[in-house]
Amino acid sequence: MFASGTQKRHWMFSGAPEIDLLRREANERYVNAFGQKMDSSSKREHFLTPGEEKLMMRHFEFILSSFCKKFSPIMPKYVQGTALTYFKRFYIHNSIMDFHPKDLMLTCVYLSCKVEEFNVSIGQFVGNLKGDREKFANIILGFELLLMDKLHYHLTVHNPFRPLEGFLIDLKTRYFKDKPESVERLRKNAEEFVEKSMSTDACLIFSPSQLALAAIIYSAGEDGISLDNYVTSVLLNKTGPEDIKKMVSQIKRIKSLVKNQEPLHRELIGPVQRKLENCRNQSNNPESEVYKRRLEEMFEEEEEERSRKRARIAKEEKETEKQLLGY
Amino acid sequence: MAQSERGRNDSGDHQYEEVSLIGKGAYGVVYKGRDLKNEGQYVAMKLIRIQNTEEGMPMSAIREISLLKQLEAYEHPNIVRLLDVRHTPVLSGEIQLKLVFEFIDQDLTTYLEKCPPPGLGPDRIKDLMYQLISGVDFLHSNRIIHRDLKPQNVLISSDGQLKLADFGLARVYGFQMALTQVVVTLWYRAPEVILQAQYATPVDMWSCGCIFAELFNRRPLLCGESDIDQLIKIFE
Repeated sequence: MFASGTQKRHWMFSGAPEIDLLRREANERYVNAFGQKMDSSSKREHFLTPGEEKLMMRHFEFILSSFCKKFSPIMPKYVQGTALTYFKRFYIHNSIMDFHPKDLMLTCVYLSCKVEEFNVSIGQFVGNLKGDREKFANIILGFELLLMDKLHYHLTVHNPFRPLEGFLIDLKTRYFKDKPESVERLRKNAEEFVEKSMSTDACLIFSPSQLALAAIIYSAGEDGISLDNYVTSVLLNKTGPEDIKKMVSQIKRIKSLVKNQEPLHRELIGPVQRKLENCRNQSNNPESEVYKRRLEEMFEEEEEERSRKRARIAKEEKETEKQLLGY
Repeated sequence: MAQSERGRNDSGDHQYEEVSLIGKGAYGVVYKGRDLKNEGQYVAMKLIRIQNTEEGMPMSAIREISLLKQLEAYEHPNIVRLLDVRHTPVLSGEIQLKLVFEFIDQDLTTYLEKCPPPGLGPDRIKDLMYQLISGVDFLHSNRIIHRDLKPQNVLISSDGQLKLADFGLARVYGFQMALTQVVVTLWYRAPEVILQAQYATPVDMWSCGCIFAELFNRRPLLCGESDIDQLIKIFE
């Protein structure tokens, strides 16, 4: 249930300012750690600004969504929703420069497939990508544990799709009893609204049922139907006027957030992406020498650890032997 | 800014040290440990080794952990607290998962052994049973069958609170899921499990009944030595 789960407890924020603040902090942490010896103007030149990070996020969210839409076999919408939620959550406390979104994006979708029980093998999954598929598989599996860890294993995500289905059924059975078929007409625009909301941070600010309600109200409005009466006298008929007022203002906030999205400035993406290549953390870059060396070192350490253990066991066995023989 | 703590690791900063071995099971090993970053607080650490497949971490394990986390957010008083989930970096094809639980040093078996004659009073039994059923009800309403309820994994804290532990075998209760047999310890096992018939949440209620009787008698109710023997004892 949403009301008692990890999403409400740990991943809901008061609004865009809080989220922006956290992302700015993540950006600062990175810049301070990697730009210790730089003055502020060369820092600005070398590292991504919080604004540039946001641009990169939106760009890769867009790519993530198109990847999901083109996925074969057809991917249910909630798998895409969960993947986007993971992606947004991950980059609240981690800078784009620390972990490249092109790597994490794929890992988010793969993890979402597992959690939402959309059964695809890793082979099938990377089959949807062009290029070196083995390399992609290694990247995804290499980041899977890290992603789960950074999400603190809060992997259950509540998407607006299910409550939207609920509202459609409720409208058919309790409000438009005589013409239930008219309700189906609301589906298309409502689903589109939910999908649009996924390219904002709405899922970090509003509950899934509020988003679904905003979607259905919006869709009805497009159709020239007012659902005010349904909301106040059917849905919230036992709710006090104060709470109704709160709900109405939440719905307004959602509508304006979803409808007033700034267009993505595509012409800016290229330069920022090139800047990112120079300032990203190479030790988290699966294609860098640093990363490969670190992996090798871990292997060696494990090997050493194993031989240490073997030596210790051999020594212990000898001791016991000695005792048995009565030395 | 308190709000900005959100989304950070909910469990905070920890450093665990193993103190002693508590038990070994089919799923892995359980250690008593201390959290060095938190005044040496005692914890119970369950170490599970998972084969890291070509597909990454198995879907069942991922879903199980996210379910445990999801339940934990509710902080039900009769469910043992899951404090932290860790994994240790692995290379040789295995992942070691560390589930850190609050440490409670007494299970129902020890509690009953320590209880002086003539045993527990009816009020105490009523209270324990109420807590047991509340915990089971919480699991069932979250579509989980415990399937291994027994006095060994019913814990009693020093202030008399009862907490259910060890959902190692719990699975999401789905309709299409083929539930595996042979999970409940023989003595607390419901007949439908022994008969390998379909089963659902009532198997936990059967176990609760067996525990209920044990609270009065201070010894297990039906100590079958084999499947057949257990069935005979049930129908006698």
